[in-house]
Amino acid sequence: MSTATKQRPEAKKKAPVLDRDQFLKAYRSMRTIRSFEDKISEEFMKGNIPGFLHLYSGQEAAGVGICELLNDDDYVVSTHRGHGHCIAKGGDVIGMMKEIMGKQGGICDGKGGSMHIADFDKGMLGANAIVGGGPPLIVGAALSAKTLGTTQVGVAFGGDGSSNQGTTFEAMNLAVVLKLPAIFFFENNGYGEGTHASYAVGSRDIAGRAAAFGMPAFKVDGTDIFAVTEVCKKAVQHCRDGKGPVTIEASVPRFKGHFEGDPQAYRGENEIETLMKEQDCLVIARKAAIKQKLATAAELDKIDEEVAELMGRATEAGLAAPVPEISELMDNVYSSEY
Amino acid sequence: MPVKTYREAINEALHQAMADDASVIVLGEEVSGGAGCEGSRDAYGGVMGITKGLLPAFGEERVIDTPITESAIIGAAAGAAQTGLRPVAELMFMDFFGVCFDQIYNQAAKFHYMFGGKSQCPMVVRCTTGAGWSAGAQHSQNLTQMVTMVPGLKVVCPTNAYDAKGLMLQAIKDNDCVIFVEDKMLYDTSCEVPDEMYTIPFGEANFYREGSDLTIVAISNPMHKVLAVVDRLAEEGITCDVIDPRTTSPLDEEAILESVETTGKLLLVDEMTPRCGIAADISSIVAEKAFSSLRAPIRKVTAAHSPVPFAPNLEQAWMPGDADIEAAIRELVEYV
Amino acid sequence: MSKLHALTVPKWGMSMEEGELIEWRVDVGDQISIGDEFVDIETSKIVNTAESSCDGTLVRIVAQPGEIHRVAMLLGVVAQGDVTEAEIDAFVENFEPDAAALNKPLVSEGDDSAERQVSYGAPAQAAEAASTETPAVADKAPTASAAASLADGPDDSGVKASVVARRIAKAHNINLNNVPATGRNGRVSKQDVEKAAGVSVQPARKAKQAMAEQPAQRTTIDDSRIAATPVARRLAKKLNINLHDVTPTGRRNRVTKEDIEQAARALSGLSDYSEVALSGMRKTIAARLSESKQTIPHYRVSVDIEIDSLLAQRKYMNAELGHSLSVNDFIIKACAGALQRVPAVNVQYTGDAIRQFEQADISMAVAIDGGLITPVIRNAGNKSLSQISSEAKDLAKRAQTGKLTVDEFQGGSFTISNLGMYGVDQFDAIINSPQAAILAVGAGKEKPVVRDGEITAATVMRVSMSSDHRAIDGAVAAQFLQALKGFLENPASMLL
Repeated sequence: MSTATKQRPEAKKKAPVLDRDQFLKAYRSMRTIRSFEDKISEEFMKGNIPGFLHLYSGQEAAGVGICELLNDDDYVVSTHRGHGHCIAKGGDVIGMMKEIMGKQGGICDGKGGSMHIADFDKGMLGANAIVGGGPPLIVGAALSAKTLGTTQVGVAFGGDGSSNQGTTFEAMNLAVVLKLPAIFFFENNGYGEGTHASYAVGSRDIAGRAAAFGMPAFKVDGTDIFAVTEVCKKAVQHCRDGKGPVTIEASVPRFKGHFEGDPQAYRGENEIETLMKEQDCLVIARKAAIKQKLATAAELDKIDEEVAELMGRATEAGLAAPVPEISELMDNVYSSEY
Repeated sequence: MPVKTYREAINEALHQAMADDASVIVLGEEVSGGAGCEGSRDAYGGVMGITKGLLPAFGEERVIDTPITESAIIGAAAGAAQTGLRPVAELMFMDFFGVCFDQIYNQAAKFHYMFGGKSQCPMVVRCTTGAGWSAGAQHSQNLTQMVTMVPGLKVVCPTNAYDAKGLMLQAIKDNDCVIFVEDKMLYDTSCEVPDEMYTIPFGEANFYREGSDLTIVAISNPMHKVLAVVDRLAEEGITCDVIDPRTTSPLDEEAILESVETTGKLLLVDEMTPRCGIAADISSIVAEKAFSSLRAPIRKVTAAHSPVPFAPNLEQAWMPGDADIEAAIRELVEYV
Repeated sequence: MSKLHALTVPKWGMSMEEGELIEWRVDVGDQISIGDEFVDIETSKIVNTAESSCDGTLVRIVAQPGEIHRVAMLLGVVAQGDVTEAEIDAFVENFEPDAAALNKPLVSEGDDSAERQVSYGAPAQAAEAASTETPAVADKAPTASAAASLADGPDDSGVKASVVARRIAKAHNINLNNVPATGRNGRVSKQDVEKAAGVSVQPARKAKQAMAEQPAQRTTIDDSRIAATPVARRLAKKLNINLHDVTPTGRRNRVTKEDIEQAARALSGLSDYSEVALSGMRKTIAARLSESKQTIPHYRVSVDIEIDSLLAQRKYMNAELGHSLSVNDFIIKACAGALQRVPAVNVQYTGDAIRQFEQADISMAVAIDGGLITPVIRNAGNKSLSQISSEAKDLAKRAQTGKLTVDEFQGGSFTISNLGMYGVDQFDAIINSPQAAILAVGAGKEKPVVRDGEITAATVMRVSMSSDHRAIDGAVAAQFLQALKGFLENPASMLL
């Protein structure tokens, strides 16, 4: 592959970005995320989920697009909107459901919850409730890969919000200085909480700002799984080739509020309806796949049904799981004797 | 007198202070909300709704929505405070102090001292704290002790709406950097709050209850658990001095020591982790200065020495609870 | 009033401000003369005995042991001639301390260390008062004229004062306008009010009240006047119980022996119990085992023995050959064999020699009602398993019914104590002196064992041998256990 990347882009276009199997796998992952978020939204309304929920709905193609190119030992760090990244990285859906419900058998023993979802078996180093908390961490993960001489890649997910944090800037600069295999993947969903990116991102150009640090930076339509995949292939290869960090800015819609229960008074009239109608990555992927004859509607429907069945099982398992034993409260404060 | 919530009281204080003094500005994430959006401005008025209505009243020049950028918010407030404004900066969750702590303890807290009294930093940092919402390990901590230990900062933690308004107005008037700690579990609590402006001086404790069996000092939300238990035990004839210091820096040591000198027993309740917390601090002060009055060991009821867990039952077990408080009171009362 | 005199806290040296009353040396009703020692008082420096400054009869004790009082304060009242209780009450009520002794301020300005706990008046009552107004208050109100002037003045509700200061001022009818404020933010502090009023408010002491409820606190004052039976008094002295701490139930309110025993239980925290006198056997067991444990340097060596093969052979012998052998029979046989192989264990320590026995006489510990006994299987090494089995059964049966003869349970060169039937894993036994070793046998249980790198199940029995190190060294004990393990794991080898 290392020589292949040197080919002209025109030559690459002959091969499809995703073959049939790859597409179906990506579609299933996107559908799993959407269904998971819909399901927990439902359970949250019923009072079965404590705390805050920040849902990923609408952004699936972005997270899935890059994670499908990663191996289990590649690293990702996520944001407070992290369920999608965890699932895209192959996280255990039932363990996640139990975790988000604060139950025994949760992926973090019920200690973390929605904002701290993680799956270390899949290289998912954790969602983060501190905006801008992740990018410095992925610099460290990429440093490990470089120091240990592996070809692992680290991806820091962030949003337009975290793109403005000092920690993010510092991390991007350090990754360039140390030439680390780190990808700063900004999902620009237009909103930092209830403030628009057009206001909060001064230059309105996250990728452009990243490029100024001295790394390749791409912009991509994050609703198009094929486009995302194409750009991410380049970025991942760049990192695996030891050429240093890359930034990707994917524009995506945010179908839900900042958090579940957000009245979203800052939204425009019919904004969400329009977004859902025009920018639903699942609808877009479905149409494109059928048109390219990658899959039939029936095949995709079947995936949808299977995912729905899995969500049913996960929800049942989550609801049935017992709450943690109080005796577990002080477990794992330290990792060695205290 | 009108009854107002803690949320309304702080909001009213901000409205009145801004109307009263044109140098007062408010800045932070979502202090109005909706900046750059198609929908309505002032969509949030702060994620907790504390700054609602300020934008329509005072405009974007004085009610400033910022990106999510804590170091810049606090640093900008400190710089503005040095140069003629009285900023009220919102940090949202107290946990986010980690992102911007340098601007607080190395910058704002030290200007007056290290520049020989030639610079002042009249700013307020508002933040919300407290567990109970399953908001997880990074949105639930009470870190009041971390700011209390910094010389140059003043730290306010109101426990009721009346205090919240009076202390906020005092904080804005104050010429030092004031950390204003709001417990998120208290926003919907209410009491009588005068419409007019008034201030409550820092360093003067409030006695919620008076009694002779023991002295209880509680900080923030746990105060309300203490009051519920104390009122129940009063029916058994157990009476306590229940003291709310209102500010942890300056601390009304005198009020606490005086009370301990009459009761000889002290219970401290806060929702901080037990090591180096406010309870531990007051305990050391009393042990040092009122040792001969003590008739029993000082007792502390605090949170557990762990990060705040997510699962609701674990979170409840983590926090100081009614049963812990009652047991500690009974133990002290029975102690001979 | 001249016939009543005050006994007060003396001033021993300029630095003395207060003292703690330790013990009264006289009781109400006692005659007292000038120079008589009447009370022990401890200051921060010394314990000293105060001498009376008057003659008469002690009619009232005002201060109790454990209380701290300032110099010149009233401790007791002495009367010359007959006086009424009312007169004494009035004397106490109107007592004024000697002004000269009080000249030195109790608390010097700005000196925290001087804020010592001082208690006056009747602390127990104050403690009971739930009222927020009346913690133990230290002193009389100031003189009437001073009090009047302090009380005067305009409404003081607007005066800045701490909550505690306001509370004390109210209790002492002091108008806060008359109190100079030195507290935080210009507040009138507790100390300001105390200074103005000449009082010192301190925590109520509950100690005395609690003492009555909880006899776990021991009194130390003289109890010679408490009525008690001679036996009770003797027992009390022996148990170091003060008769003040005992509730009398005897005739004419006398303390009885039973009362002392009851008090001893309460003081020690023990619950009620019954006592059974020691039997002769119990006494012997107690004496011999105490002696063994205290004089013999015990050490223990343990080994796990796999007995699956033994169990299989036992099953065959019992089922097919009509025996009724117990595991214990095999152990007796194996011990005898091991003693023959390692005779250095078959010994006694005599003080100046090691006595080596020729034959293995195995004592077996048998639990019987009220104790245990160790019948002996003589020369077990030369007996067959079936002989051992029938002899052991016979001895055990007769041990239970108390029909053993003396020579059947005396002697023996080695003891086996088997608690395997109770399921215990292992235990340590005390050597059956004058023998030098005892084997403690646990239950055979299925356990995982590693054999050829594989984990497999085996029936494992743990035995621990306690040995007298004066006679048997560790390596010898280990050799014995090795031999024993060999026999029990390969029972056929016992036939050799």
